[in-house]
Amino acid sequence: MSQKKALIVDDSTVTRLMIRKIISENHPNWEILEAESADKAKSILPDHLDIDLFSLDQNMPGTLSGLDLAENLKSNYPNSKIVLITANIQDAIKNRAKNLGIDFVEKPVTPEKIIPLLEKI
Amino acid sequence: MNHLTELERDSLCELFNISLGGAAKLMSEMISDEILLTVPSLKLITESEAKNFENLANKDVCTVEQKFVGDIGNGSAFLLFHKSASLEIVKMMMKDYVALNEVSQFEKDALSEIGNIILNAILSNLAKMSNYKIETQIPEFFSGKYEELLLNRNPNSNEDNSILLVFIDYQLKGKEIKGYIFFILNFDSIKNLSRVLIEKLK
Repeated sequence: MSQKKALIVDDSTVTRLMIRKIISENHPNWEILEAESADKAKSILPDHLDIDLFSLDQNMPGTLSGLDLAENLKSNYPNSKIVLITANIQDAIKNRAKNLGIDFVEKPVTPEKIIPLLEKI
Repeated sequence: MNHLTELERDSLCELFNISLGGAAKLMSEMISDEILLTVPSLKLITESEAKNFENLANKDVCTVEQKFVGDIGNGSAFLLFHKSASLEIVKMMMKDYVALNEVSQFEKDALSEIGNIILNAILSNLAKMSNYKIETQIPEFFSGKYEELLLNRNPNSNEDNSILLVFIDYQLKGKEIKGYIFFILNFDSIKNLSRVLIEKLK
């Protein structure tokens, strides 16, 4: 089985740590990358064209939100799974995620919310 | 002194009652323990009254501030803990993810995340119930004396009628951990919000 790769983009160290642990415990062979902002994520993407899962926080410091980054990723990574992780559960956010065809998870992050998404990859 | 009618006060209490139920559920999920909430106590108080608020004056506290803008006006929401409680909460949140002796490294980030989740849940519900558009900013964590943190950060401190609205205290079941949620908005914004809610309830 080929090794899968995930990129976790979140300005919260704690949330990155939680998602990393949930993925690692269920898929120990996955490579996991992290970035603390969408801008930082964009800077490392050219070196990683084979990412299977993007976990994107909605509200981060910098010029791009999670949804902004998701829009960029949809065309360049058509076969990857993109998940928006958000504490901001307003309908406008949900609708934009749905229109983009991406999943969203409401914070707090828990194994019960993340594991079913991993099974789809 | 500005004041609200009984109906205006009731409408706001109802709003916070509903919002806090959701927030308490989220916090219970985060720390894997039950949260007990008091019925929201709605008080309109001035800055000077806030300085002597309950047992917080001169106390060391940690707070997460979430600024917001939108139809409701400019304001700030605060989740506030006594300093002595903050590490205990972080331990409960992080116990499945890091060793106990590493927990303190994550105190600021973990509390910021708790504040982000709780305050966003309340503000989202407020937006939904009022049909207001509300944009939140990235939460900020502060630690220090209560007066300095809460009052010096009042975004409306240069305006007349600047007040603090609403406090809710909550308690973790079986633990001596108490916390507070504060909202700072100017009086006109609060009055307008209550009127919108009353219209929706008709």
